[in-house]
Amino acid sequence: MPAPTTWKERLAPKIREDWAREIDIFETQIELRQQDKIEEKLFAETRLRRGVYGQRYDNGTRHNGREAQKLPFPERATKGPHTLWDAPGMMRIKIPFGKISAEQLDVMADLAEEYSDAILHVTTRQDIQLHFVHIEDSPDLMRRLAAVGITTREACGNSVRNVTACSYAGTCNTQAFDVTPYANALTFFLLGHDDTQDFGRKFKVAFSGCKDEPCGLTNFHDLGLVAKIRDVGGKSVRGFEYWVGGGLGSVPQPARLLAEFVTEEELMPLTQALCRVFGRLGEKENRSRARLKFLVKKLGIDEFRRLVLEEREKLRPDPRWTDYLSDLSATEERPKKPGMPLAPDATTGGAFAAWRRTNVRQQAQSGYAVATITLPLGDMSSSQARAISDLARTYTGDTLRATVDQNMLLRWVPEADLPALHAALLAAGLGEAGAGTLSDVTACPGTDTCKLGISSSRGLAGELRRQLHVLGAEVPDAAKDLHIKCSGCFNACGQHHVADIGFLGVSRNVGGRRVPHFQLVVGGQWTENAGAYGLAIGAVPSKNVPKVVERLTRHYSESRQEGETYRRFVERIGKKSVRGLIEDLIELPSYADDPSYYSDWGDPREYTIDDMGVGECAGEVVPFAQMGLAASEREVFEAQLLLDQGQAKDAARRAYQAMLSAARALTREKNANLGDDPDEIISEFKARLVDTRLFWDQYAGGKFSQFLFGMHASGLAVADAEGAHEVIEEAQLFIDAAHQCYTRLGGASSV
Amino acid sequence: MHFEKFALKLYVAEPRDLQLNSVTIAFHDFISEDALGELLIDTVDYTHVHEGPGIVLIGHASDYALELSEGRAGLSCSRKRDHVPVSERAADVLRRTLAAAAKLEARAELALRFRTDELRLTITDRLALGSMPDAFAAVTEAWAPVLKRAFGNEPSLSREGNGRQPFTVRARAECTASPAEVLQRLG
Repeated sequence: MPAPTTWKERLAPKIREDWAREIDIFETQIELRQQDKIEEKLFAETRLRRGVYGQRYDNGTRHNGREAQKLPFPERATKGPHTLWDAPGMMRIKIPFGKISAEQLDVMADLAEEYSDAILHVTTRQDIQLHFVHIEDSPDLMRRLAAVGITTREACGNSVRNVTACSYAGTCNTQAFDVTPYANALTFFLLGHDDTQDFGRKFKVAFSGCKDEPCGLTNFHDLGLVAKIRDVGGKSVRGFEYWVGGGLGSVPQPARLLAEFVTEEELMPLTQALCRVFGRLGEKENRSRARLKFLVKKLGIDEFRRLVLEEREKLRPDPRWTDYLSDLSATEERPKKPGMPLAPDATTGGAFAAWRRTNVRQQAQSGYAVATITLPLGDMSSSQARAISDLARTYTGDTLRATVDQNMLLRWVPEADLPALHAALLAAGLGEAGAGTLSDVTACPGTDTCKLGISSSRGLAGELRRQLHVLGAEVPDAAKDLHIKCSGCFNACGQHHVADIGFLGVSRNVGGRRVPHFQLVVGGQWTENAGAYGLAIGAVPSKNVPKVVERLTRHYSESRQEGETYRRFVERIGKKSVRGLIEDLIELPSYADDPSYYSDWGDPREYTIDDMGVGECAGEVVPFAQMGLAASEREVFEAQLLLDQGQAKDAARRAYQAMLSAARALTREKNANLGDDPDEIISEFKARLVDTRLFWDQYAGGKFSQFLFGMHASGLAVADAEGAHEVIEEAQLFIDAAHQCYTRLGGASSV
Repeated sequence: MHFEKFALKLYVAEPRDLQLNSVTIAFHDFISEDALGELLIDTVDYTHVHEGPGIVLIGHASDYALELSEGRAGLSCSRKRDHVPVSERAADVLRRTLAAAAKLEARAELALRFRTDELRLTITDRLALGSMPDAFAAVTEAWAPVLKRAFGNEPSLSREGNGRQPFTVRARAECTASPAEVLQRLG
């Protein structure tokens, strides 16, 4: 048998059928877009919902510091508004709660080498991102991920983004219980769910095992779930504090408590109801006011709660709400080795001791530890990723997690193995101490790759890391555990609001020149799941930020009271006093005196904001019905291809499916509980749209609906190519009629 | 050579005083001056990654990097999508790598010199590799004549790496010429 010539052929036996089909569909959509058969906004949202994101310069223009230059990409279709087809983009790989197996990491290492720049980037939401990926490589990239159990579906766009969770879950001393199985179940329950397809913006979910630690960061999520055990009639019952409407960005909002205790049985139905309310009432026009936080604020938490509970009562029961509860151990990790304490004669000094102090945490399970691998700026090379997967296999039994501060955890390390593990990490250039300390600076991509980036958050973070490492022991002890976080713009992906010392990229126009600056934000609270946001102090030229950090940390260590956190310290001394500390650093030298201020960190070009583009964080608002109609058009196209390949029966089935998809998309406008059983779709479609003459042609009357009814009643009895051809023709007419009906419905109607 | 994704690396002769910041500036200039005759898009700094890609110049069909893998600095040219005829690919990527190296050597502030007696070829096209019974033989067949023409003598080629690392072939030959001279010889 000849060797497979495509990844599709080679991996077919390893990919879940539904995931394989989804990727095939995306590949078809790519083809259709190239033929201009899908409208660009619709395609943009389609690709975003598959994790295929735009990148800086993808409008084909780049500023060289003196002037804007055209990047002469081949002239082809666009990937979305102002987004050229051949411009490289970012691939976001959703890693639910950051859990990665060694095999998955190996595959991502290969993908980074083959399709990207040999770097895997861990994000602040436990995703992995590959940059500079060509869209035409993305279907194979997705297949290779799917073959190891990863889907990129809904990694971007107006969808439920990666469900994050405390990366210590299951090993932690302070957790109420392990949130992993709940995060896992909710991830796959919401993935592709009908009630999550009509959002005006993204929707982020986070789990935390406890209230006091920072790991889950539930306070700034659309939905934050904090594990809680309640005694009910003498029995311990598991549930969650249910927080909604938190968010960072330009208008940060702390989450509000929707319910003090939601039982595990109610977690999914309540969330489904919440999604439905957000989809129905959330803002769709004004993208900057479309996150859930604005809806909660507008309605007030009491009214919002009432609407969600009312919606909850309308839901059609779904066995998936509770099925997973019968096997909560499905996500349980099994260590490779028995737990063993660190040998008394083990090396305890030098680099190992420093690393152990900051990068190792004892597990709840005796004899085991969690080791943090510090990743500078969240980056690891493909070679390093393979080294990490080797270590996971050797020491821990495959239990890696990405963290929200852009590092990786190796869980279930026998404490006795820590010295050997550290030596191996050092050999791979991954044994750096300082995880979670001042030098472990978090940063979003900023102007490196993000279209919205204003200042170079990664450049700044890299420089701060470098300088703090040089200072080493000279950094005051009291300041060593502070957190620094940098965002390249107000969208706050670097989570600067919740850092002790945060920086937000801004620009200033001075003497006719643009100058990169960072707004200083101090006193955010990382603990208590990001319990409070910091205060803006003033904008500082980028090149003065290291001096700002030096002054703030020194002042804190010299003037703080015993046990005083940085937040309390800032509250005590006051914003004015903090500003006074840096007042002279806000001053900017003239260009003639020091032109270096007019370039950003890590970028020698004279600074400009002209490279900013239209962001894709918001995606494009494409209603569920319109997505459904687009899917039906794609299915008719596929039916035609099948017929061309001589597969008449399959072609007819696909054409029938196309009509069914269109009918379902329209009918769901009238019945949000509509399932996907064909009999139910037909019956509901007939009752709500045909009998009411909404699906009705002025001249042909109900003729087009009869195409679907006839095919359905016949049990798809088509034997030959001629018959299949006829069904395809009918399906095309049906879909045209569906579009007319959708227009008649006003584009969208309320549920 | 039926591979679409592969990279060639030339090593820096005396890497002790590497001016990576100046390399960043040079790569930015390459973009704005269209210096390499192909579409170049951006530069990225990965010098914080241990033995990583270093400073990368992202292009449409090729990425160039002053990279630090193996603990050895060198200039790599990675081909990402190739419309060059299969029979021309080896010579084509060698020309691109040598041309970029010559451009960097010409910038006095970098004080960079590249060795031409050793090359590393890395093939990341795992799909093609997986369907090839003897990849090393195929690489040798495609590369040996090109390298002989470039080096001026018979190169020795050896296979390196294991199954999980990319397929790697190291070529050595006696050569003291500069990249610009080798490029001229290659034609």
